Amino acid sequence: MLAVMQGLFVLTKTAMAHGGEHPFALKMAEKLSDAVNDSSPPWTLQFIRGGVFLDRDLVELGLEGYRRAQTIARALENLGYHELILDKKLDGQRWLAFGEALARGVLGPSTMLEGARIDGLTWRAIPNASWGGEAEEVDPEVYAICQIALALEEAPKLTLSESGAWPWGAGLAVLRRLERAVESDLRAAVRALEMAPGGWTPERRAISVAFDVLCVLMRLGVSKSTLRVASHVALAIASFGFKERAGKPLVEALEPVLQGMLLNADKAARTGMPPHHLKVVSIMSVFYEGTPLDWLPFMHLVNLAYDLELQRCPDGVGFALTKGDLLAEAARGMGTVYPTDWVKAIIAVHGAKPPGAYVQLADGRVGVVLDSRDASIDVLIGGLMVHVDDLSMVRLLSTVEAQGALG
Amino acid sequence: MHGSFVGAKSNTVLTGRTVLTLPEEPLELHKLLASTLDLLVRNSRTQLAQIGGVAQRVLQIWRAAGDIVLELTPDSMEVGGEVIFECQKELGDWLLPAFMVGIRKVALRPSASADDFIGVGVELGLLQIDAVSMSRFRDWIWSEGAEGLEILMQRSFIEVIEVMDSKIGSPRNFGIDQAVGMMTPLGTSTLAVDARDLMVAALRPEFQLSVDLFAQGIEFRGFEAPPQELERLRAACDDSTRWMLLETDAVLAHKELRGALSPARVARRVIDRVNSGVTVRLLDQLARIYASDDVFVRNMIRNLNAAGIGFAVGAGVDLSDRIMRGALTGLLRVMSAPQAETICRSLLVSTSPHSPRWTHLVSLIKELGLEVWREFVNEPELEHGDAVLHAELLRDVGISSRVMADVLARVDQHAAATVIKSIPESFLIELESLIRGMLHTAPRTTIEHVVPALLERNLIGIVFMIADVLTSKPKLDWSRKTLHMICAHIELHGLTDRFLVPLVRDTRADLKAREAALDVITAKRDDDLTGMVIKWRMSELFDPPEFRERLILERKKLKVHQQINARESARLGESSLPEGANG
Repeated sequence: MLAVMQGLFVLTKTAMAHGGEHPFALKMAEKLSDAVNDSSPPWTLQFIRGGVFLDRDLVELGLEGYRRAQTIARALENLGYHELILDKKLDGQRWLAFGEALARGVLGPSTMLEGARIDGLTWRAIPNASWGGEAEEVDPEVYAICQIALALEEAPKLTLSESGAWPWGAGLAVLRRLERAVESDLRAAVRALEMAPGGWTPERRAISVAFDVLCVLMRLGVSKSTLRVASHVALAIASFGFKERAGKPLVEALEPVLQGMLLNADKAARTGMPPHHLKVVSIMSVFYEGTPLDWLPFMHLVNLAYDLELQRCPDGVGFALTKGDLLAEAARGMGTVYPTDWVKAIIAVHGAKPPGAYVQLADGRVGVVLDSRDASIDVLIGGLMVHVDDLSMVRLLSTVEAQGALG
Repeated sequence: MHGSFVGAKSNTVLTGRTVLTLPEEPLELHKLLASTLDLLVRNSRTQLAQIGGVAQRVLQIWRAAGDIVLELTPDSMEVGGEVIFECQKELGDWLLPAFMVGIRKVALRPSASADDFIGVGVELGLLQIDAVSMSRFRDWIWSEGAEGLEILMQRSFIEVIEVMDSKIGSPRNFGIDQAVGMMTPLGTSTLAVDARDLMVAALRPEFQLSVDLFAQGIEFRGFEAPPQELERLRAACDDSTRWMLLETDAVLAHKELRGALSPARVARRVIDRVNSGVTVRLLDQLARIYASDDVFVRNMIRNLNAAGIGFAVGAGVDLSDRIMRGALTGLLRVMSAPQAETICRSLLVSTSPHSPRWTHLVSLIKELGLEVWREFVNEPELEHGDAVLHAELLRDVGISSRVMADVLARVDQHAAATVIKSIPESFLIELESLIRGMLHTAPRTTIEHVVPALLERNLIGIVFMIADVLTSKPKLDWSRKTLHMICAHIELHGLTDRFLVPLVRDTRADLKAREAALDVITAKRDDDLTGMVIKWRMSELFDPPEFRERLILERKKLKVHQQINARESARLGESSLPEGANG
């Protein structure tokens, strides 16, 4: 692919210097054709934010290669596009035509490729793929939902390896997604997790525990270091604690994970164990060997979030409870079973009528909360989305109550 | 680890055996920083064992440069928009991968160490432009691998691709399908509740509980937390001391972690915490560390000692807190004497007589045990000022005069002399042999220091003792002033015949002493006494010439004085006879 990049660059420069009619330009186009034919098309080439991808795989570039790619990417961007899709081998003439367009793009914005056709070669724009320093950010709501969806997809990878080691990289990847989702758009992230398609699998519930811990601590203003450790601990324990229905107590769940984290601890990084890993292991160790008197405060939050999620899929029945049910349970046990501070903090994140909760309007109709804001909610009722501004007219229902009403 | 210090001139750095003069002009300094950082990264690939010195240099240069932010481009480094380094062949070949992985800015944290730069150098040196390598690097950054550096990472192209490939559609409509499933009554969807489940739920009390309590709590704001409560919670979550304690406990408890962390690194974290403030938990943990006996912990302790943990603990501990004193006592008891010495010395120098801390230190010594304290303090090695403080402290502890004698016998002689100067009379009896020894062996400065103060007490026993030494030592390195003072006191206490007269006559005695004695005697103007003392003797032939001359002179003076007295007496005798007695 480096030869292709080199060929595109040279062709572009040649077309700029001599124009498309010059024999030298055609010669460069034919050289490019040869290089492309050697690269075994069909393929797609994406120019995204400083990276070049061949069929979504990052192309390794040296500095010179990067500079050339930069020229091509900028030219393509000026033409309004970021991706080339090659269906078959092309001859020199077709490449020459494309090269002339790139040459125009080097000079500045142009519509030369709009409506143009080169048989076998197409191009398309990718949103937010700009190579510029001030690249546009992805739509926050879309980004947050996307990251939650990807985290849910990756959750099944959170298993111990054959040797019993904890997959640090997989854990970090999931947590990074959750963190980015929350930073991008908290409301959308909450909604994405509660309303993602599918049932409440053990993996999804594990993500939910980590997510609650992350949201609460981020809202509290705790340092990044601490909140990452807390959510990693929550994720790791929950990944082993939940079954299809209910699950194990927290301490019982964490033992194999702690052993898995200690395994190969010295191979965690080339430069010794990173601080994050040490902190995670330390907290797991305290959970395992200490008493609640030894706990750092957020460990009570992890315990609370785990306990609540444990009740999401109760034993003996086939249905899952909603966040509303779980928050109500937390409120019931506040100050007796559950620590007051953290119950308040979790409720503050999700609100009085969280997404996925059943509610009843003043007219008796029952619906599911789709989206929740400070002073209004969107509710799905009878297939229609209803926007409600006066929350005092909406009553939260438990799952059993709601199903009874629906029945 | 290579040691370094900033030289007497602020722009020189000594790293190992290399002296580096730093440029004063900021741009040149920044360029030096960039080129040294580049050297660090490149050397990490081929000379890993030797990069400690380079890492230390980078740190020192960056500190000298101040609060700057390094900005990365694909082929250069900049500070404040000015280019300070450009790629050239293999120089800077790590910049492009670093840029592509998302690094944009790097700043130095105050807590940075050379170890942090070694880590950064290695990781940047290994970074390649491939998805696995970049993911691994981002994991390392995210896991605080670059502890001492603040690294700003931009969102990567990978994330854009992910969104590009997602099939979310309109976010507004997200979740509707799920909600529809939940709304479908009586089990016609996998998400809805099955009728049988409803029947089961009807029989279980936990499903009968209403959510109204929750709703009421919301309505009456029962779930709102005051800001100060939230702040307390936040601060407690980020309590650095507790974090350090947990981490250290984990390392001590799990041998598997020891291969992953160097004892020096663990020790450094402990030291950082101690320097920020001593707590009871910290002392308890130090006690656990010092009570342990395995190779890793011994190495840790070595590093702790080298970093001055003793002084930090001694200076930072709050002795007014009884529980903390107890914890400190517990720590001292598990330490070896050399280990405890620095803490005890630090306690000693961090207080002053009769201050509140002094009183609490007295309490600590009582709680720890006098003998233990004395052993830890290592009396023979105490410097003058510390030894004096130590003795005063022990007086306040309430030691006996015998113990005080023992203490003063062990400390520096001059310090002992200082203590003796102001020691209560009740202690002096037990100090006699010590004082005698001091008078025999101490250098002149010490003698000058202590003897006047002893004489001022006006105690005949003291004078006797000093006189005894004076007359028994053939050679004295004492000043004439001191000797005169002693002789004057001997005379004052009526010990002239006992000491001064023999002294004048003793040809083996110190000449200055004999002269001082003679001065005092002749000053009395007692002709009989003087005559007795200066009367010629055979032994005078063996006196030094100047002393013989002195005696001769005194004899002449005496004779003249006697003649004058005789004439005066005769005159007085005539005038006192009755009239006609002469005739």
